[in-house]
Amino acid sequence: MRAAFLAPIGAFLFPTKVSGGGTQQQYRRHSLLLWPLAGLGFSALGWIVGGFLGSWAPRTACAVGATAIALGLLNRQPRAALVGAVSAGIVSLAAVQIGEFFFSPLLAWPVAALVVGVVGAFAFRRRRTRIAFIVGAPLLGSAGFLAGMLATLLIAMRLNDSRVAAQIMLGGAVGFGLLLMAGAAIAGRWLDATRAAGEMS
Amino acid sequence: MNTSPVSRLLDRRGFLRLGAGVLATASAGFEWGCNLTTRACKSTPPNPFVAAGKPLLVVVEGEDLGAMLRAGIEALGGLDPLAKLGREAIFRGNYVASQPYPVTTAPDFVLAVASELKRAGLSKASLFDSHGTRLSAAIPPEHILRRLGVLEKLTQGGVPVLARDFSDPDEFVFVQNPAWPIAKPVAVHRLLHEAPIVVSLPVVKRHGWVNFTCALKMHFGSVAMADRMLVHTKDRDGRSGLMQQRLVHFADAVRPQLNVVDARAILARNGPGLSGGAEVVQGVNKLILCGDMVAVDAYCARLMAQHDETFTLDMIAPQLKHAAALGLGKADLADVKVVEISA
Repeated sequence: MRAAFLAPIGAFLFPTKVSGGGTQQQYRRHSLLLWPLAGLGFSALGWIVGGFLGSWAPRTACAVGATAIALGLLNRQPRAALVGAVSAGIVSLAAVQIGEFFFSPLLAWPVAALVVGVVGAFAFRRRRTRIAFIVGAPLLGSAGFLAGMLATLLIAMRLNDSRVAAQIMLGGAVGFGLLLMAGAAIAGRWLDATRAAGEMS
Repeated sequence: MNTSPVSRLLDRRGFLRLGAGVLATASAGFEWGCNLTTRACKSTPPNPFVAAGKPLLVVVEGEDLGAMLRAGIEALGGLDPLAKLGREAIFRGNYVASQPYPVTTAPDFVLAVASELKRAGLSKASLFDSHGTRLSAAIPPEHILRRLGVLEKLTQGGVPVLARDFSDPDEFVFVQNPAWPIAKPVAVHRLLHEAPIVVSLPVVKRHGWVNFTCALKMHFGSVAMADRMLVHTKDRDGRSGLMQQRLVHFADAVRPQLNVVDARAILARNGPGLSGGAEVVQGVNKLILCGDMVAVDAYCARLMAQHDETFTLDMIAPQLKHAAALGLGKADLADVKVVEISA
């Protein structure tokens, strides 16, 4: 009974372990556990590293650049990782500068997510997946950023600890990486899935 | 099968290891940022302005600001004790809203005190404020100072303005006093923590939540927005006592060496802004100078009670009692040498 309950969950999270081949081999590269965790870790590390370089602008650039690196490396495209990181970093720096005069430097997050989405879309085989990822990336990035900030705020209020509350933006960066990479994994897993195992490269 | 180091790094297992390493590094960085940098509150020398072992509190009544200030400083024994602590001082004003004195510290008052500090031998005095963030184009850190014209007047008068982001974690150090009943650190602005001399320039106001704001409460503006927000959300109406305690801890984290209160006018009945029935009482015409911020609040609360029948001294008794218990100063004016003069 318990095994029957856990089997679909296992197949969902670790498809290759369950199937061992066949049509599910195509999911191998899009683990729903690994990709979000990588996005979470890379963007957090980028945010922390950016703190050594300055304030909001370098932090944002490093966090979105690190997320692009995670996406490129998991897609086994080191060059795309580099291009994505550099372009997302530059665009986010520009967006922060513009945002300081118009609305908010937080504009950099959806803009950078769009850049990551465009560069990352080349890893998908199907046009519909590419379009879906390009359109979805800014929404996922923004939603993740807001959810991360909210979660950090709620934890800080629960703990009544300003050390946690002071890291609200780090929480946003973590949420950004987590949701963007989860979106990439989901797009690759379902939208980009080929019908025949032979189509796998 | 390709087994080059690069492909091994990029395969699933290799990437898991890499990801674990990244997570461990991020966690370590977070831990470092959160915990290891919590420090003791700044250590300050004892109050240099004392008479016969009691804190000296000088009250000057008059109408000429410059003359009042000079007379007050003379009665205080001069500013030489401050000049011995360093060459540069940082002013803390009250700039909670874009409304003029007595809601906020008057720029002419800041310039007058800066001039006296320079006469005492200090080379530089800067105004510090933190009521905004670069995360919003609408409320950059200098927006209130700019709207009030304080930024322009002080810069022209040779007093640099240091407007800092209240949400940037790099701007703060986490400090904690083991004597605090709330065992959580406070994120105080690095500039204030490291400044050799801090001179506080409070105004005397009522406050909707904690009843009164002067030398202690004004240090809400000295800490991170994270701390301000947590206190405001945990003690929405100021009734739980958290805000009364925490405002004392914020002041403890700064510990200015001198407080110069501009009570030429006060804000009575409500505050800290002009809305909600607040009333500006003109003609109070007093300056209060003291190295003890608890004594300053004890005296100024009496001043408020004289001009606002809705205010009573027991409204701020808990914060004064807590501040005295932590050794921040004397809450009982019997333990303070009060000198009242005219200029």
